[in-house]
Amino acid sequence: MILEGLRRAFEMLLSFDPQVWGPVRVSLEVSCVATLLAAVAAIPLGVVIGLSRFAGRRIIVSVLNTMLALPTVLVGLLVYGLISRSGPLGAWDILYTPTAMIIGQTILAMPMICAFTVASVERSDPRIRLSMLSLGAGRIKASVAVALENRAALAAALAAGFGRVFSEVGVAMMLGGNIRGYTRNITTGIAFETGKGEFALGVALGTVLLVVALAVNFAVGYWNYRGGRRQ
Amino acid sequence: MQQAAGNGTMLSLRDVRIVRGERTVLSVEKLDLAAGIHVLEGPNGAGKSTVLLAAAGLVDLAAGQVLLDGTVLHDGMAPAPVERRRRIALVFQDPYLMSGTVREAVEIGLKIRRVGSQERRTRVDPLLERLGLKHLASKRSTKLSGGERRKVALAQALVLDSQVLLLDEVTVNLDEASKQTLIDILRERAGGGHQVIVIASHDSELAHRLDARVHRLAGGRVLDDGVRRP
Amino acid sequence: MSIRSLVVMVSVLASALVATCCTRESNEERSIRFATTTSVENTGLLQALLAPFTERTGIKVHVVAVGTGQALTLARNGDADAVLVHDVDAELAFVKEGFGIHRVGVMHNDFVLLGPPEDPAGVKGLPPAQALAKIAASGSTFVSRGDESGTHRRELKLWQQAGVEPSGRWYIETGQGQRLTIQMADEKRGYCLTDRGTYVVAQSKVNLSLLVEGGEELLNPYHAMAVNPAVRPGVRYVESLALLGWLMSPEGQSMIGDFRQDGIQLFHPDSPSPESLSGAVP
Repeated sequence: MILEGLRRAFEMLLSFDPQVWGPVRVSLEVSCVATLLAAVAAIPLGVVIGLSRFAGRRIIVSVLNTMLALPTVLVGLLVYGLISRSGPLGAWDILYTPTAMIIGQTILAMPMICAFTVASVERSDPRIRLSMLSLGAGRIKASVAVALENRAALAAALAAGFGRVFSEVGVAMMLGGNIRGYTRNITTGIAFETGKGEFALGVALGTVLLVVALAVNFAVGYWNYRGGRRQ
Repeated sequence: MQQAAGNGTMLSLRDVRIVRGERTVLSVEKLDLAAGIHVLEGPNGAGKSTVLLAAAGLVDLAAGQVLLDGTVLHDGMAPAPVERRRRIALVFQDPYLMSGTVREAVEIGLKIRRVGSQERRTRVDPLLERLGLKHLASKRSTKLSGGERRKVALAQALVLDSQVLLLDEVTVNLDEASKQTLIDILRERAGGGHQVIVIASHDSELAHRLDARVHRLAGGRVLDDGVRRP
Repeated sequence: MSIRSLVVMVSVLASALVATCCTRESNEERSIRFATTTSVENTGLLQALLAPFTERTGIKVHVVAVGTGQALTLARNGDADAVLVHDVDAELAFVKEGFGIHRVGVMHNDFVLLGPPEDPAGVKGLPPAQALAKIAASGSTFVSRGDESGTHRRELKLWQQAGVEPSGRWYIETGQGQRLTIQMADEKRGYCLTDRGTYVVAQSKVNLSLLVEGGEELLNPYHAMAVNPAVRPGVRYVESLALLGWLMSPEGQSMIGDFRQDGIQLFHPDSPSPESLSGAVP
């Protein structure tokens, strides 16, 4: 059954079957946007936490690390309660839309990206910030320089966040609703097609999932390898 | 000589105390550094680098003040406010260069101060030429040798023409010709009579060649008040 | 990379994002959320039925396929604009509470009891309640949806008729959709209740036999309703009515009747039968 599934899966992939490529497009769009939105908030926050020393910092970092394991269905439930028409943000009317999936995935990706950013900034060369300050930079510019000098590590943080949301199913199912041609993405598609006994489509979607995840990690790994510089 | 021409410019430390953990690493009651060249001498851990960091506003002061011409530069938590720090340039003992080309690295301080690209070029080019960095201008800063990196770090600070120039062990890794060039530049600047140049160095010959006032430090204290050695 | 290029990059991303969101908004102007059961969605009927509707009216139908119980919960919360479900008692309660209006009988098929071909409990051809009682007595595995879906509710009703409180190691509640529940019954060599539509689709992929069918107790009518805009002001009422209209139109009804899976008719249109007319006014 698996072999037959694989053969049919590749036929579907190569013939650009919209049943496969529709969910792939939804997954890529939603997860990319969610990752970037999360990054816009999480990277500056992570840099600030990574560079500063204040009381309670350790607690924040360990809370962040705990949130890495935040169950996706819990986030789904929380956001569902907020954006349901009978919830406080019901007027936005966004449940079961890609926007809702983006919101949920952004929340999932943020702690991941933030924690990775904190870790990479803590490990980064302390001379970066001091050099910038000694050249007359303000605190913000000095922090931005730290981020830029660590951009390969931050790319790895982004990749980790992307990997988390790209492969999750809870938020996508609960907030997206697995609507064909609209919010069905790779993971809800796999769950749905397995539910229907359609292994070939599930395998085709799973293949894309794997290939994208591998490609992203490989690209980031290569960049980190090339950028592995020492002064 | 040059130092005698010193007119108002004066960098002063007053009752400065710096603590790391439980330990006091620097305790300076009074240190006045007039326009001209000063060399801080002393064994490792004497507090030379810490004096420079304090003057640059990059280390927390447990007590005391750093003053330039009577106005406060730094008197508490680091970093000091940016407009005060911009009167000072510091070259670290072990400098870090931001990724980019040599030209970009040397221009960073000017860019931060929003100096236009035309003016940046007219200020940077002669300095690159003089320090023998011109042929490296478009080389990646990560691909430089130790001596080249040192010269780029010097150029970064020199191009700013700041009132105070702080140099930490700057001659390490420099070949004799570059060292002489640096000495010439520093002596010219000191000759202007309005720049305070402070150098932390092990190299006692350097103080002599710079005709500098020497302050000996040990155990986080200043032992004498600027002797000029023949 | 300088700070400026970073700023440029971020603003380009932000504006791209805003642009995507805006186009989505405009696309969404004419769309409704249609909560229905996995048993309908799994057959592919809706795909065939809704495409011409969207083509003609420009209204996109976003199908959320869940169990009947959850579909009605979504509708209660205002998170669905219309529903197509199959649990008469729950439907009538939904209408009585004021959430549902314009309830119409769209179509029906029937439930069937599946089991291993060797039929260890010996239920083949028995009336449904008697068959379940025998399964429980023999301790044979029974795989239940366990999800408040229409099929699950019907199953519970049949257990009640059989006078059995189903529980124990032999009674497995999957909490999954109909297709996966059949799959699990196959894996566990157990019995299960399913709508005929899903069975027909799954038939070729599992080794289960149809053991009990026919009779009033196994009739499976599907009703559609709009969510009352007076109770849930956010819902898209006009679009829902258009969809109900399409389902009940001669064209829609004949498409339901003509829908075939592996050459087998899965659903029987109900309009304009007296049954559906009486169902419209509870």
